[in-house]
Amino acid sequence: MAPVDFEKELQDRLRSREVQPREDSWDRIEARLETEFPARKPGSRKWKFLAAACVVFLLGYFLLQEAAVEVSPTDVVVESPDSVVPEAQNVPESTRDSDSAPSDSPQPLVVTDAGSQNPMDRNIETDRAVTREKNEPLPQPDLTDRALAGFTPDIQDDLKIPDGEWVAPDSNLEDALDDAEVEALLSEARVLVENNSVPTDTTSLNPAALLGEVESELDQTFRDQILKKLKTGFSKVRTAVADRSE
Amino acid sequence: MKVKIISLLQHEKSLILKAAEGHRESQKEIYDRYAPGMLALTQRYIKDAHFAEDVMIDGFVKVFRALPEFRFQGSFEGWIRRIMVREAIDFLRKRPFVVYDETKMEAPITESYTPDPYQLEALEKLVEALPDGYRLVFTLYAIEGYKHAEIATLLDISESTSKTQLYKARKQLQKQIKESSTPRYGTR
Repeated sequence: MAPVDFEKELQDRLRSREVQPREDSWDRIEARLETEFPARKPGSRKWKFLAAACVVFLLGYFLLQEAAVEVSPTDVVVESPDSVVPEAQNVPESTRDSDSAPSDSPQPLVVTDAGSQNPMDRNIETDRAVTREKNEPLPQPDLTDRALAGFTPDIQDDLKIPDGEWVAPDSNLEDALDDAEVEALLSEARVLVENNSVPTDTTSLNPAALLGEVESELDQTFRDQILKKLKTGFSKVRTAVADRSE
Repeated sequence: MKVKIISLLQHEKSLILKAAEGHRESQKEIYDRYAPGMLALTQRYIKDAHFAEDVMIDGFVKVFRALPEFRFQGSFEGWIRRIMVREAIDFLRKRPFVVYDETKMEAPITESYTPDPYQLEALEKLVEALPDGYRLVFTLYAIEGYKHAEIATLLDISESTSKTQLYKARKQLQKQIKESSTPRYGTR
């Protein structure tokens, strides 16, 4: 069905026709869109990221603050170079001759009260030094023949506590003790150290002697085995000869 | 000129993409641009201005809902128009006052007629005055450019019914135009 001429004109005219909707039409559309699809503003995502970053930053800041508060000033241990002195200064005169030991031999940390004036600090540092002595893995000694030849383990510490007697420091102890008690304990410990009543382990080891002992034991065993074999063989031969002669 | 058109198209594309993401300002811009034409369209199908506006609002909600599916393969305005037409027809279908005349058409209309602008305005009024069934098929075919097969599917009628409706609408329009253009002498 071919279009009638006037239809084309009518089409153009009607298609270009416009009617202004009422003012509230968009509000009605927006209200319906709001319920179905909430509006997303282009910058809203950026602001969300910014807000999240702020929250994370504040959380981190408060956590750090709490961590800083938890560490009380009495727990702070200052490791000054004065607290660890060279071994030679602490080794008694009688044992200084054994300084010919190799330089990589184990050197225990020894704490003196030279650097700290506060008795509480001194106590903490002593505890810490003892803890380090117990817990830190000591470097393995050089057990070659050359090293063993002149090596004599002769560790002399002023403050050496046997394994069984060592007690871990109680964190609540400082709260429970007042200054007078601390002083009393310290003076008691000082007297104990001066009297040298703390048992020291002065056992000396001679690797050469040990090796010789082991070698002699091995020789003895080997010799016994040979003799036993010879004895068995001899008895067999003797029996065979006797049987043959009969 | 060409650059201006390209920039306009690019602006429209970015506008559509933003509106599809739910950007309210872009949606409002699209509404402001196309709402007057779409209201005129719905009013051609639905005589009641309030119902026509309700249909337009429903149509725009559907447009924004379906916007992420728009593939930029044709005219954006044409895509909106089709949604509006479908919405208007759905509205009419829910109200069964459209009666299609099933009587057969007689002979094809071959008369040529070119009206002047004044007569075109009168013609618009004549179209609006057509019975609903005639007007619907005439508007879909002659104004919106749908084929009979598409009209049949849209209105859930047969293709021959669509052709009959168009034929009768044209015949009635021509008759009325002829009557209105015939000079009348004297007074009653």
